[in-house]
Amino acid sequence: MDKYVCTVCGYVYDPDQGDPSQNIAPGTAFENLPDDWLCPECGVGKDMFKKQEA
Amino acid sequence: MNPNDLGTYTRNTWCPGCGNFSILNTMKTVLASLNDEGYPLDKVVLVSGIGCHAKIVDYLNVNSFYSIHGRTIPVATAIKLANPDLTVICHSGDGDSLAEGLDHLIFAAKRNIDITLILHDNRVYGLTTGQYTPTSPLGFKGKSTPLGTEELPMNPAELMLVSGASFIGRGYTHGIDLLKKLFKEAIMHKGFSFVDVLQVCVTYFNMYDTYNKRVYEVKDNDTSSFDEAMKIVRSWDYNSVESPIPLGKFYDRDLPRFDQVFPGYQPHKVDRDAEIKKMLESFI
Amino acid sequence: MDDFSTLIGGIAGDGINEAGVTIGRLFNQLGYRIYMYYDYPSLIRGGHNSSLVRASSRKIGVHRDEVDVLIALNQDTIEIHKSRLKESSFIIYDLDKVKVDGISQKGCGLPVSKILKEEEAPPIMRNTCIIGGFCKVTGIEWPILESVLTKHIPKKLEQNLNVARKGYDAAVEYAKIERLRQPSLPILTGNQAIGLGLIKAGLQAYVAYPMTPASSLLDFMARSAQEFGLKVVHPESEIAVVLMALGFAYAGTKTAVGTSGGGFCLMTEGLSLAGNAELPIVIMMGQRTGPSTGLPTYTAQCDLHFVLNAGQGEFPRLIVAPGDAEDAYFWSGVALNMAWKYQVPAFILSDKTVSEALYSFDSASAGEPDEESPVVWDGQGTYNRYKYTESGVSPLAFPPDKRAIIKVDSYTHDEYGITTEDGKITTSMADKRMLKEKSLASEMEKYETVKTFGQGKTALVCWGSNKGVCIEAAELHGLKVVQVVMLSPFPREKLKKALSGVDRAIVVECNATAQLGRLARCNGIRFDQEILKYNGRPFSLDDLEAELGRVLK
Repeated sequence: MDKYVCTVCGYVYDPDQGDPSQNIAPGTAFENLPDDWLCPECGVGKDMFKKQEA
Repeated sequence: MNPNDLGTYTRNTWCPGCGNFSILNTMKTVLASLNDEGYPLDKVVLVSGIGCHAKIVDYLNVNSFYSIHGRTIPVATAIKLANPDLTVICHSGDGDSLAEGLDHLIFAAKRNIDITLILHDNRVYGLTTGQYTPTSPLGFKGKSTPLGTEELPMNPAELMLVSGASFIGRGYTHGIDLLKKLFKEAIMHKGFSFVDVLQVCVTYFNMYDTYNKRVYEVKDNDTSSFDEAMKIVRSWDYNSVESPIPLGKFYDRDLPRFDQVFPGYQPHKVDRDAEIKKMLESFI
Repeated sequence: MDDFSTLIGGIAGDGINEAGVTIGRLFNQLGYRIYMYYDYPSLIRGGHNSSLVRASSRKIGVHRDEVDVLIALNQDTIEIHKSRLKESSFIIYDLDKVKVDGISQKGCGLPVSKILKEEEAPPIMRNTCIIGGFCKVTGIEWPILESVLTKHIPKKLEQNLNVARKGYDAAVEYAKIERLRQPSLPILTGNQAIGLGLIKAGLQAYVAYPMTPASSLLDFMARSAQEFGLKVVHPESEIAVVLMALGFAYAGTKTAVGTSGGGFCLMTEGLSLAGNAELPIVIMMGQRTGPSTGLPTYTAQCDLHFVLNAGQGEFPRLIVAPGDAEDAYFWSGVALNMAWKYQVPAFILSDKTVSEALYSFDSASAGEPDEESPVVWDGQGTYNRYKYTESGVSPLAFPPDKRAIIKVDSYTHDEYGITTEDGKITTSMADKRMLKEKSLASEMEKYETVKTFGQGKTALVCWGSNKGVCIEAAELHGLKVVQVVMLSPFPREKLKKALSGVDRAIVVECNATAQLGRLARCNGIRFDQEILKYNGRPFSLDDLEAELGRVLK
C-alpha cells in the first residue's frame, strides 16, 4: 500500500500505522480513508495529498 | 479511551493547513492514554488565553477555563493551589504569554509551579490578522510593522531556563510523534513544564518549508545539566535563517515547587467560630 | 467625664499607631467605647504621625477636634496640634525633646531619655514610657496599664514594664478617669472586622498585592492563615490577584481580594471576566484620595461610580459600604454569601477611615453572617455550566467531578460553556445576567440595606465612613440620618421610604461631586443640599457641625 504525503506540511500517511487520533485503524489504505478525513498535523483535506515517490 | 471521543460538537474554525490541528490531535491522544493509565480526565483542567491557540478548549470535551489574553498562568496557578490533585495544562500563544502575559510566565517558572504550558508558537498574531510578536524575526513585515520590525526576537526557551522552569522542550507541529512524547512527559513532570511548539500559521507566516529543512531532534543530551540545556537553547536565536533548530527534551529536573511548600491550610479542619471568638477576646 | 480625647504625636518610627491602640485599650478596660483616628503621611521615618483616641460611654464613630490630653513625643506635635487645646487640656511631653513655652495649659514634662538610658531601652520604647506618665495623669491605675502591656506586648515585656513604671512614677495626677459599669468590648480596625466577617461566612482564600489602605487586611489574613485554615497569596501584580481569585473560584474555593483605586484599575478586565464567566469573587476596595497616586494614606469616597461601572459590558454586581467595624463584619460576610449564591462580583467598598480606624465592636449589634451554600448541581443528566434557570443562577459543579465537564468561558458562550456568536444566545445570556440581578435584588430585600437613625424633617444622608459623624451630629440637632449601605443593586424603594416625611435631605460625602447624590438622581431621588469635604481628611464632629450651622440657616 502506498504512502501519501501532505503537500502543505509534509506529513506522511503510512497505511501500516493508520491514524489513531482520528479512529483510523492500522492497515487502512489512503483511498479508503473517509472523505472528511483531515491531515492530523495541519487539517487539510485528502485532496492536498499526493502519493509518495518511491 | 478513544481519542476521537474527546471532541465537541462545535465547528472547527482553524484554517486548513494550521499547525494547531496537530496540537489538538496530540492532546486527544495523550489525554486518552493518560486516562487509561490512571490519570482520569475529570482531574484534568485546561486553561487557554486568547488567540487562535485558545480555541482548543472549545474543541476538547474536557474541563476548561477559557481565560483572557495573557492570563492563563494566574488562573492555572490558583486552580493547582486550590486542589493539588488536579492536572492543570495551559495552552497559550507567543503573543499571549510572551507579550501580554510575560510577567506571569516568568513567575510560573520562578515558582516552578506544577503546571504545564504549551506554547503555540506561530510567531505572529493570527487571530488579529498578522501582526508581529516577541518571537517574530527581525524585519518581520506585519500589519503593525509594514516597514519591518526593528527589534530582535526573544528566545523563550532560554528565558524559561534562566527563570527557573524545571522542564523545557521544543516540538514542531509537523512531527506529531515527538509532540505526543513531549506532551506526555511534560504533563507528568512535577514542576513547571514549558513546551515551545513551533506551530505554523499557514495564513500569515508559513514556515513549513523553512522548518522542514532545519529542524532536528537532539539525542543523548544530559537533560539534568543546566549548562548543556543552555547551549542547546542558545543554538537557535529565533532569528537566524541558517542555524539548525533543535527539537526534543532539553531540560528535566526535580526542583522545589511552590505548590509543594505553600501552606495551603485546610479550612474544614478548623473550628471557625471558636477561633473567631478567641481572636475577638484577644482584641479586648 | 463622659467624652475624653487624647492625641499622641511623633514621627513615623515612634510607634504612634500602636501607642494609640494602647491608649484605646486602657480606656476600654475601664468600660469606655473607643474611636481612634490615625493620621500619617506616606513615609517610613520622619514626618508627623498622630493618633487621636476618643473615649465615650456611648458608641462613637467620629473624633472631635479638641483634645483633653496632648501627648507630645516631639516639638512638631505641639506646633501642629496646639489649636486643639482647650483651657482645661493637659500636655504630657518628653522634656528632652519638647518645649512648652507660650503654652498656657497645664502640663507635665517627663525625663523620657533619662529613663530609657537607665533601662538601656531602645528609642521605640519612648511611647511606652510616656503612656506610663499618661496613666498617672489621668488616674488610670498602674495594674490596668500593667495588664494591658502584659497582654499585648509581644517582646521585651519586662523592659517595657520598667520604662512604663518609671514614666508613671515621674508624672503627676491631674484628672481621674472613672471606671464605667460596662463590659469591655473587643476593639479592632475596620480591616480586621472585614477579615473576620469574611472568615465567618466561610472564606477559604485571600489574594492581594500590597496597597494602602488594604495592605493591613493582607497582613491580617497572612498572620491568621493557619488559625483559620486560609490560603493566602501575595502574587506579582493586581492582574495576577484577580485572575487567581477566579481560578480559585473555578475550583470551588471561596476567595476575596483587597486593593485600593490604582490596584482596582488593574483588576477591571478580570472583573469583566468574572461577570461574563459568572465566577464568584469578593473585592474589598479601600478608597483613598485620588486621582492616581493621590494621597496614599488619606481618605476619600471618590470611587463609588468607578466601582459601579468598572469592567466592560453589562453584568450585575453587589456593592456594600460599611460605616464602621460592626457593619464591616456583618456586610463582608453577606458579600461573600451573595457572591457565591448569585455568582456575581461583590464589593466591600471601604475607605481609609473605616479600614484603619479603631472601633469598639459588639458582636450582638453586628449580627452574624453565617455561611450560606451556593446552588449546587444535582448530578442529573448532562452538566451545563450556564444552564438557563428561573432565577438566572446556574447550578455549580467543581473539578474533579466524574459526572461533569465544567467549562467556563470569557467569550459569549452557550449553556455548555462553548464559545458562540449566535445572536439569540447572546441575547439569552444577557437576559440571564439581568435576571440574576433581579434575583439578587429580591434577596437583598430581607436585609437592612438602608438604615435610619433618629427622627426629623431634615435628614442627613450618608454612606460608608460618614455614618458615625452623621449620627452624632444629627442627635445634637434633632435630625434624621439615612445611611445607604447597599449601593448596587440600588435600594430605591427603601431609600424612598426612609425619606418619606423628610422635607430636606442633605447628603454628606467625602468627595467633590456628591457621588451618592448623583447615583440617587439616576434613580429618581433628588437630595436638597450637599455637604462635601475632600481634603483627604474625614469629617470631625466639629467640621460637620460647622457645615450644618451654615447649611441649616
